[in-house]
Amino acid sequence: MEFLRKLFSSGDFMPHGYCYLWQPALIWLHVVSDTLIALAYFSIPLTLIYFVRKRRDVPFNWVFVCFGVFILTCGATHAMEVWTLWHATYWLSGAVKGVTALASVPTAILLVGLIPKALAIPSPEALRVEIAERKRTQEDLRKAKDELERRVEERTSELRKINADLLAEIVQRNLAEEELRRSEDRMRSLVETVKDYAIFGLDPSGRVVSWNVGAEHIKGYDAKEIMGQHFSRFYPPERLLINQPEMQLRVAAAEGRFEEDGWRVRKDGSRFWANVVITALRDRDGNLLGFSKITRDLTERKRAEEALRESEEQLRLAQKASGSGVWDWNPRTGVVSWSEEHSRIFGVAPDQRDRPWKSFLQLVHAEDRTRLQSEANSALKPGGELDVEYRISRADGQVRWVVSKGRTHCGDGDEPVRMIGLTQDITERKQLEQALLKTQTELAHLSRVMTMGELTSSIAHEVNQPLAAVVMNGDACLRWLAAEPPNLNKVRESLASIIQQAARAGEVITRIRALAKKATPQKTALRIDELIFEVIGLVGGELAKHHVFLETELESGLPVVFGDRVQLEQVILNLIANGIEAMSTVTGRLRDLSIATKTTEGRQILISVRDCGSGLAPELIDHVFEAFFTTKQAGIGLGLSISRTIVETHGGRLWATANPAHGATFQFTLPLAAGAAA
Amino acid sequence: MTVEPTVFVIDDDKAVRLAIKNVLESVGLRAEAFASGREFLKSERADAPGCLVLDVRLPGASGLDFQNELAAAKVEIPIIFITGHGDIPMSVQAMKAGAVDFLTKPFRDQDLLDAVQRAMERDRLRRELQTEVMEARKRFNTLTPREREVMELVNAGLLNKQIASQLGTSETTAKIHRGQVMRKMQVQSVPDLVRMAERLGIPSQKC
Repeated sequence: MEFLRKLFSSGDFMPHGYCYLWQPALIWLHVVSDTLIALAYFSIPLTLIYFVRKRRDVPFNWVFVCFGVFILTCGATHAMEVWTLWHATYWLSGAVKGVTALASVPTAILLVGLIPKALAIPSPEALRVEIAERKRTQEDLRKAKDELERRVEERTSELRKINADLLAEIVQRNLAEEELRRSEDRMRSLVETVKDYAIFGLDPSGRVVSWNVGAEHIKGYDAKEIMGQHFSRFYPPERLLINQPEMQLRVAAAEGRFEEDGWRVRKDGSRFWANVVITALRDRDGNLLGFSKITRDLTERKRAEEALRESEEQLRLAQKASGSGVWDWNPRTGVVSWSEEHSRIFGVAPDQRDRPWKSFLQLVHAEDRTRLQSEANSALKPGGELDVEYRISRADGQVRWVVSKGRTHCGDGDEPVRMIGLTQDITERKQLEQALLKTQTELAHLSRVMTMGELTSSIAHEVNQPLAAVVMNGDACLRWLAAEPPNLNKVRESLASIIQQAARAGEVITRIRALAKKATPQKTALRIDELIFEVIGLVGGELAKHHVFLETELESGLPVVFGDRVQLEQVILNLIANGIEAMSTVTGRLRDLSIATKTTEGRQILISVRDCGSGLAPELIDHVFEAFFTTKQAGIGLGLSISRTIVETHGGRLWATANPAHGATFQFTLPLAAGAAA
Repeated sequence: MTVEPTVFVIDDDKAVRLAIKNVLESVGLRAEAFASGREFLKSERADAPGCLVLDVRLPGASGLDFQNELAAAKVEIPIIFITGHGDIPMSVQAMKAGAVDFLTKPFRDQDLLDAVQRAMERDRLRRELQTEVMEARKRFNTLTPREREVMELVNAGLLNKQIASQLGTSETTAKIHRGQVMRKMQVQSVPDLVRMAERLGIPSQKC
């Protein structure tokens, strides 16, 4: 303890500064120099430690540690130099120097011993030279090796290529040989197995040298029996007589080839129609080796051709007989082709079978062109059908009626490619139809007039009623005027009634005139209930006379029908008159007559007239519509027959059924006008 | 309801029945129009003198059928038929069934009015008669059985003495009964009583 205390005390010594007489400049020179030295010495060991830690491979690195310690202590002595300037701890500074000495002396001794070893360490330059030398040698070696390898590789690949080429050539050759063989096989089997062609070879003299299946098939000989035989046996006798086989060979030899269609004979003696080609075979020098002969059996084709010809002839005859011509219209080219009969119908030269559509239209009656064109256009669609009647104006001045019916044929894309059909002259039919229509109209009129004749007194009653009202209202009117004072309100009322009733009488007369008039039927849009009420207006008297109670069950808002007003009123009038007549003998029950209308599902209006009269015997139901069939004493039996004709010309149907209890129901249908709402 | 004479018009033709009504009204008659007999029967009618103007041709039941129907229902009203041309046989039948008149259309107003006048007169008379009968019956109903016997005997023309002998009473009693009968029946003389008995349908007995 004492030692330590002595060590760190200054004792009686003076600080070192005194030695420098505290001259600031000197003091500071020492302080700064010693401090910098100390700092530099302290930093060196740190650097060394860092070096040693990083380069563990450096030999003798303990030397660096010794140096480190030595320098560190040296640094400490300098630091002490600064300290002792003001603090006279000279024991301490001496101790530090002592430590320095202890560190430095062994280091110096060790270093001496180390020098020879250190000198033995080669210099970096020498090392670099040596390394470079080695590298070069190595490079040269590598280059030599690469060169060698490259040459080996080159050689090897040449060999490989040669090998591959060889192999490929072998394969190619094999394939070619195989192909050739196959091709030959194919050819042979083709020739041998073709059944539809007789292919055989002849020697220059005409003897058979080869024979295929087709030949066997067509001619009937097998190869064995025909080889070496002369080919003339295939010809029918009449051809042999004129030496045809020889001639044909000669032609083939001279021209290289001979072809003909002609009769040949089979082994069994039967004949067939053949196409024959004889070809001369020559070697390179032009010497005749023989002939190849190819024969085809055309019997079927010839038969088909004949059948077609026959069928065409039949069609032509059928067209002529039926007066219908065939036409074929191609809408893309706009060309119409037609048959001879078609030309005849249109009165044009029979050889002009094709003509443009426009030129065809010129033959159509001017009034019918637009209609025909639009009908044809609307039929031009998949599944489209044409059925149109029109007139044609022929060059000879005749106007004739024709009907054309056709069907559209379409291509793959559903586009119409042609329309084929028939055209028939229906002029006579049209004339008959018109004559029939005229007769029917006249008959209908006759029947109508007769019916009205039977109803005269009732119809008179219908006029009489309003007239009676007119007369009475007139009388009353005069009285109202004569009254004191005149009752003008009543006068006005009476006059209004007079005008109304006079008009009513006028209407009845108009209706009677319409029914009695003989007019060509004219079809207009009609409301069926309107017609019914007009007829009821005429038969009201007849109903009352026979004490018939009339009920109407008319469906409201019935669509319009298309027809002739007078004729349809006639039908209704006939049915009502029949109903009244049927009930004339009824006693003991009410005489009810019912008229009903309704629409049916098939776009039709059904009008029924039901009576409760004597009814219809089942065996009579089928006869009541026959002309001149009547159960009445006075009737001539035309009413129902004409009614049925009228309904049918309107596209409807009239029939009768017996009622379960009493009487019969007569009903008829009328198709709704096109476009009328159901 | 007023007891004013009324003409009932039945015709299914509206124009005609209104025209007839118009004519009748123009002469100050009261008229009602119906489209059918059924409608007429259903209506509430005043019990007034009147007549029926009926169209022979009616739908359903005819005018003649309706006439029979009325008779069966004991509706007594004079009927004037209106007919068209050619309905003569029907008219004859109607007259036989008691129709008072028939007119053929078209007819003049005067013909109609005359016919109506006649029919009304007839109805008035019928009604008068009917009223008298009703009155007589009412009075008759007040008689006692004995008085009724006495009335029958008086009606038969018997004298008081004969009545007393018939009834087995005194002549005085018979005389008193007779006096009661005359008083109750409100008659002054025997001939009056006899006329009343006739209306009542009491047969006059002769001894």
